[in-house]
Formats: sequence, structure tokens, C-alpha cells
Amino acid sequence: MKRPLSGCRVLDLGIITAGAATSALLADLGAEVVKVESPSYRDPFRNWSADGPQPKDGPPFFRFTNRNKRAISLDLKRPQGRELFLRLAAKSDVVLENFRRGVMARLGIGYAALRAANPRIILASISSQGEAGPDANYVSFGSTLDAMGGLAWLTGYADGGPVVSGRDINYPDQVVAIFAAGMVATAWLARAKTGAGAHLDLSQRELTSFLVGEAFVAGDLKVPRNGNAQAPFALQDCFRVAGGDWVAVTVAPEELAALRTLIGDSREAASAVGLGIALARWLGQRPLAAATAALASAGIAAAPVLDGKQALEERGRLWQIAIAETAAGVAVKGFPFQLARAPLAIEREAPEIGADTAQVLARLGGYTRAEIEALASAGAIECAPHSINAIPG
Amino acid sequence: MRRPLEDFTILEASADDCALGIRLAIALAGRIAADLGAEVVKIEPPEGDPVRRVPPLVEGQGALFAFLNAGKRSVVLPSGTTGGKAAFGQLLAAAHAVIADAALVGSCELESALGARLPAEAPRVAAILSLLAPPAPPELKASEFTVLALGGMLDLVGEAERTPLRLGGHQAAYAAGLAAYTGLVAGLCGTAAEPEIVRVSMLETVLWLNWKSLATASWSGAAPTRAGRAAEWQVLRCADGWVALVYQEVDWPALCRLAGDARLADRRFAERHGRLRHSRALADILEECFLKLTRRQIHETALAEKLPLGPVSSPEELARDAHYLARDFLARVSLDAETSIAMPRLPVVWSGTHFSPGPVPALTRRPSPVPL
Repeated sequence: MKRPLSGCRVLDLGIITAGAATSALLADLGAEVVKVESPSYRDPFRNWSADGPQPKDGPPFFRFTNRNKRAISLDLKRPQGRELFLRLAAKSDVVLENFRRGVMARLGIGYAALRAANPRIILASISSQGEAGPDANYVSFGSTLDAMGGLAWLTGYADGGPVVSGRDINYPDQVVAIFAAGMVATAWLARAKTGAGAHLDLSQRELTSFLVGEAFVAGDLKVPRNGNAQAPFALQDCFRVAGGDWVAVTVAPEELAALRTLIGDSREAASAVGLGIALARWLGQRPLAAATAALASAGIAAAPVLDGKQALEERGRLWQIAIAETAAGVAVKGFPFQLARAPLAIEREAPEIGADTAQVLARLGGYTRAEIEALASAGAIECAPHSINAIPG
Repeated sequence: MRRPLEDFTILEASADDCALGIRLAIALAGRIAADLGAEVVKIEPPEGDPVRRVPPLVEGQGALFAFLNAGKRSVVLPSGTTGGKAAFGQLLAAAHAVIADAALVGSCELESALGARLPAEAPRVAAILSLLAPPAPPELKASEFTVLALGGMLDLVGEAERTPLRLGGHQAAYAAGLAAYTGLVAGLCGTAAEPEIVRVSMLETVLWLNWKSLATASWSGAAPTRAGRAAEWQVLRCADGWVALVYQEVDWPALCRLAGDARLADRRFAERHGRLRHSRALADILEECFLKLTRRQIHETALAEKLPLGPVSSPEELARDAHYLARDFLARVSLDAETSIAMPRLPVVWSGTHFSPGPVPALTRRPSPVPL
């Protein structure tokens, strides 16, 4: 079975989440993704331990994000390493990066150099602020962009200040991977017709603003921070049930009568606030299961507010694909959607440093085993233990 | 410049009882395709897409509708009639791809069109969206908001002792829309004879976004929860508004220089674990320091010192932001013959060119004859 991006080769300079998760999704869709690290520079995710007890299967965030990829290690700061990278770029379709602005040019592998090596190359540059503009060198993590892109302004309690998605979600770093993978696939599709490569300048701050685009349209109508309330719903919020758990409830205007009947609130004219207070009282007297079942039977959307552990426990009951497992049964990131004809699947675990250097150099670069050994002993490349032995002498 | 999807026609359709969140997701996927040059045909009932009437309204048009549907062609089809079905079939046969909600698949000939027609006639890709999907029980009623609850995203935002909070706007719906677009365009890249079906469950997309929390739970048996004022990263007040405190270990010295407060030299704050243990006290001190600085001052220092602090801007302020102006990020789009509105263009610059969205489609009150 051929996946849709089969035949597309990606040199992946993506790091941490935004870049590395974009190329992971391209790999899921069938692209051959070769992660490029350096003897002197690793994806920082390899060294990011998680808070709390350490897992036994290696750096977890790296393992979650870099499955389905190959990995090579070459020193882009050396002329030999750069030459090698450009030789691989000539045999590739996409280069993807999310370094700070200016790093690619300093390494001598900016768009002009890549295009000279391969006129059909697609360079996807994912950055905080975009390639140009007065803030081009502004650095960020996801929550910086919640603030700078307008999302934080729209998030918060009605009586409070703006709120960011925070360190545990870092929302702008997650969504960009889905969008950027879509843009790379679009460029690949267009190239099949026109033969032309492209440089994709993807600003995470702009994406964050795009995802609240309606607030720009509303302009001075000021879409306010309003907790969980949201038009056109008559009532939407979280309420505590007996025992203290939270339940999320959305009530459409046409469902108000059913809600009033259910909770025995006969005041037809009661405001949304009044109804919210009545619903809070009603829910506060009922345990979780009974409360959600009663709301469901009245045709009202209601669900317990789950934390990550509880959400994980619902796998197989409420969901299936968002988290996946390797053949060895180790949990890794799954998929944000699924294809029926060519299902996305986990076929490789996240690679060790330089796991595929020798093999990729031999297969794509045409290097002999002796040349690879020489590059390795010169320190221009790094090969995982014993991997050179697999190359025919 | 030629836009990358210029040769493609994409159909958008939803059932009458389609959930609002799914309407928004479908429309966002279509908006992306439209900006990239595709001919996007949106099928509406005679009374118009309900999203047209969701407030706030700008010149009588819902802001959500205007943003999500700029650059599309609207075609009115009476649902449930023989004529409507025939016209739908014709539109479908002329499209390269269709974006639709799962309820529609069961209620019309979409499924048979995908299965039985010759590949040359039927769309090559169908993106089918739903709030929940198997294995979730089909009778479980959901909304975009309850999907956020089940996906663990609500639990992570807000004050520990107050209600869990949704992120602003329609992030779950829009993320599902991004997933639908990416799956759809990937499907168009495929060369197989059979059509590809992209299935997007909003809950799966939300869980995928929230992977770090699930990952942590998978090995430690516990997941993070919202910490509010005790959070390592949070929003603090400054002289003229708010700033998001975001930093890594390596940024601590530069952050101390910016704050310029001797109390930060306290041993409690020397290491990350101490800063986490005393996070409320640290937030109080930093807020006191930031209250002496404007967002502009913090912005300039952050830019010079490579600090990832985030001055908070409103969309209104961003419409005048120098960086956004330099990048032509806000485009003028015509709403009707007299009115134009500003909205974000697609957040990609393509080999130096950006793509401005087209006009917001007016509703033709009468069913339109279908041009083929």
C-alpha cells in the first residue's frame, strides 16, 4: 500500500515540537523523513526530561515526536558537512527547519544555496515571526505566541485578565505542525504540475492570529473575554457535581425548554445567569454519572472534564488514534486524522543519533564505505555503533 | 503568481443538523483551500448557513462566517428535494474533493458516489468530519466545548480553584479544520485509483494536540493540571497591560536583568526546582517589576536579549502592529458592494508572495441553477 506522500524525501532540521512534529506528520503520510542532527548539536528534545519520575524508554518527548523517521548526524559547521548536506538536498524534495532566523544562512544552507543544489527544492521555514519584518528575530515558545498573536487576549474569566495555554499545552507549537504539514503537501502537489520548488515562510504568530481570525473581523465590536460562554449557545460552562468533579455543559437555545424541565426550573424568563445558577445547584446535588446521564437523556451535550490521565484511560472507549504504540508496545504520538485507504501507522521507533548516517550516505549520496569511515574519523559525521559495518565494503 | 491549488475544485457540504463546531471546521478547511487558489463551492440551504447568523455581526453578517468563507462561491440547494439531490450529485461529480460532516454521509448519495462511481467522475478525496467517532458510542451527544473537556484541554487552563477554561475562539473546531485540510491535500497527492477518505474526529485532533499531558500520564501515572498563579508560565500585569511570563532555565539571568530586583537573587530562586516550589512568590515579585515597564519596553528588551516573553496584544492592536503591517498580514476583503473588512490572510508567504482572500459570498435567496 502506497501512502499519499510516498516518494517525497524530507531533510528534517526540525527541532523540539513545531519543526519535528511537522516532519513527523509528513512521515506518517508516507514521506521518507531523514532527521538531520550534528555531532555538536542534537534536537534539544533528546535532553528534555519530563517533570516527575523518569520513564524507562528514553527521553519521552523525543520518542513521542520522532517516530517514523530515520536519523543522520553531520556537522553543518564544517565545509565537508555542508557539502554533504547539499549533496543530499540534491536528492531530496523538502528541507524543513525551525531554527532561529539567520541560522540557515550562516550555515550556508539558506534557500539560495539549496536552490542552487536543487532547483525543485521546497524549503519549509517555520519560525516565530516569519522571515522578515521588524520582529523577525523575536524568539518564542508556544505561550509567547498565545500572548503576541491575540489568543491570550480572548482567553480568560469575564472578571479577569488574559490567560495563556501554558507550558503543558503550548498550543501554538502544536497546531503549527498540522498546518505546516498541509502547506508542504500543497507545495509538493503543485510541484508535480509546475515543476517549481518553493520557499514557505510560516510564521507561528500569524497562524495563532489566523486561528482567532473572526476577532479581527469583529474589530471594535470587541469580542470580550467571557469565560466559557460563547454565541450562539444559551449557556456554556463547567459546573461541579457532587463529589467535586467538573462537568462541561453546552446548551443551545432550542434546548432550553428541555433543560428547564429536567432541572425543574419553571422561570421561563430567567436569564442565562439565573439558569446557570439553577443548573449549578442541580448538578451539585448529583454524582457525575447520574448527572451526565440525565443531561444526555434530555439531549444536552455534557461531559466530564478529564485530565490527561483520565483522557488516556478512555482510549478504546471514546477514541483510538491520537496516541499510538510501537511494535514493542511503547506509547508514542499518534495521528490527528486517519486515512481510510492508506491508514497512517507507526512503523519505526524514534531513531538513535546517527542511526542511519552510513546507510543514507551510501544510498543517497553515493559514498563508499571507505569514504564514510574517513568522514566519521574526521568528525564530520557521526554513525551509530556498528552501522558502518552494514555498508558493503 | 499562480496559486498552488488553482486547478482544483472543492465542495463543502453539511447536513441540516450538523454541529456548529463541525460547520466551523469544514469552513476553515475550505477557507485555506480558497486562499491557495482552489475553487471552493459552499452548499447552503435556502435560509443560508446558520453560521451567517452567529454574533457578533458586522454589517448584518456574522464575523465568523465572513472570516471562514471569504473567497468561496456559495450555491443554494434545497435539502431533501429531488432537484437538490440531483444538483448535489452534479456538483460532486465536478469536484476533486469534498469536505463534509459525517451526518451527511449517511443521509445522501455521498457514500455511494465515493464507492461506486468511476474515479474520473467522483471526487478523489472526501474529508469527513465529526465531533466524535468510533469507538465513541454513537448516541453520545457532544459539542466543541465538551470535546475540549474529554480531550483534557479544559483541565489545563485557568485558576486551580476556579472553573476550567476554554481557549479563546474556536480552537478545537479550527484545529479539526486544519487536520481536514492537511488530510485532504495529502489525499490529492496520492496516485491510487480508489478515492481516499480522510476521517477527522475533533476529539482525536484535540487529544493529539494535548499529547504532552497524555505522554506524561503514560509513564508517570499522573497528568499535569491547571496551576493558575502557581504556574511556571503565566500572564502577569505590566504598566499598560499584561505580559506572558515565558522562559527557560537558560533565560533566567536575562530575566533577572530585565526585572532589576535584588529579591530575585534570593537562594530560593537560584535553581528551577526552587522557582517552581516558590512560584507564587516569584510571580508576585516579577509582576511588581513588570508594573514599572510598558509592553513596548518589555518587547524591546525581549527582542534584544532573545527572551521569549510575550506582551499581550488584542486583535484590534494587532491590526495596527508594525510587524503585521510590514508583512501585509491583514487583508481588505469586500463584504458587499459598499463595505470592506480587514481579516488575516493565510499565514504563509509562498516564495515571497502572499495570498489575499477573496470577497465574502453573498447569499442568493433563491436556489441557484447549478453552473457546470
